[in-house]
Amino acid sequence: MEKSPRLNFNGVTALLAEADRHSVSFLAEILRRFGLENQHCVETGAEAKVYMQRVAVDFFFCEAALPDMNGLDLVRWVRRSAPVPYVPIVLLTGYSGVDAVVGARDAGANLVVKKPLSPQVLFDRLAWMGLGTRKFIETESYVGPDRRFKSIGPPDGLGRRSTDLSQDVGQATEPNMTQAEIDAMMKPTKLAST
Amino acid sequence: MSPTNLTKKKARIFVPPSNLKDQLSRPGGTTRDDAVKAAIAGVEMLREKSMDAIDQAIEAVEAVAQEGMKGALTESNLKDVLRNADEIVELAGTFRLENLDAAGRSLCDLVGLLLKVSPYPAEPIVVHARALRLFAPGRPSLSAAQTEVILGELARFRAFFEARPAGTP
Repeated sequence: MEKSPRLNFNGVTALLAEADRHSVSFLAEILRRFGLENQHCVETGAEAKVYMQRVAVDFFFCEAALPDMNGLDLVRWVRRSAPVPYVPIVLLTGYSGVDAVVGARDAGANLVVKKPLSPQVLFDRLAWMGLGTRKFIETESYVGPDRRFKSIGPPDGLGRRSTDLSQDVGQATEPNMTQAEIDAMMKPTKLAST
Repeated sequence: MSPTNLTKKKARIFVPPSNLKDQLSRPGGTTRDDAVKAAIAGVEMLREKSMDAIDQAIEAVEAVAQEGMKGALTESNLKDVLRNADEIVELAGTFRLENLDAAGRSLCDLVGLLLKVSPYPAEPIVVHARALRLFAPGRPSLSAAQTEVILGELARFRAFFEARPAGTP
């Protein structure tokens, strides 16, 4: 029995925003070997914006520290202003401290992948993002994947019972998650076989 | 104004439109094991080029260190060192050159600390550059004890500048 998913990347497109020539060559090569041949590489956030305004890509890989802008700002721009704001975004970072991961999560990135890149990690993340059906959430302060796993009651706060929870998103009542908690939420879970 | 007076906009929760799942699930494609195997082979093909790049990055750090010994380092010099050290870490990590990776990381941390002090001292960069060269690919391998001594010395530099209040010369 085949446990891992079989993925067909033929025809799938990806935008790679990364200024470091080595990082980009490793990433491009790994993706190419997965079968993802349709790649476009840019070095700056400005170039990424221009490209995304013209072309709808299936995956967006973004370095956290681009020469002209912070990768987090670019992620926020994609979520708020890009023609295809729901594109799965993988933020690539050499520094993966808690603040960096929390920042990426809050900006709306789907995942954070630490460099140097591991093909195993990358394949699993792509499978998780591509085959999963994670909902999106749009609020005044956040646009991105809905990371909550709890049921919060019927939509629009129109519950029939007094105990039904509304969908208002208020101030956080708990401290930010630790790295281990974030990893636990972000790591790939069992996928439905197709 | 208390938070209760703020009007909160309702959150919109929805499944984003996407045909990615259908695309990836089409017949054909590759299994995880095959894809990973092919990717590892692909990265391995970049090894030779990467080793040359490591050498060039170390040379660049050495050049700044040498320049620094003649006079004061500038912020721009340190940023160059950081860029090269970052490149070394990236490449060493990819090809599992653990000692080089550790020395590169140490240099990154050190530059972060040095940027808070002025004038910028060159000696710690010189010592890190020597360590990078000793751990460079193609060099004779060092014993565990030698490696420990070198990495220990690098750690001492970091500890010194960590303990030093910002702005003290």
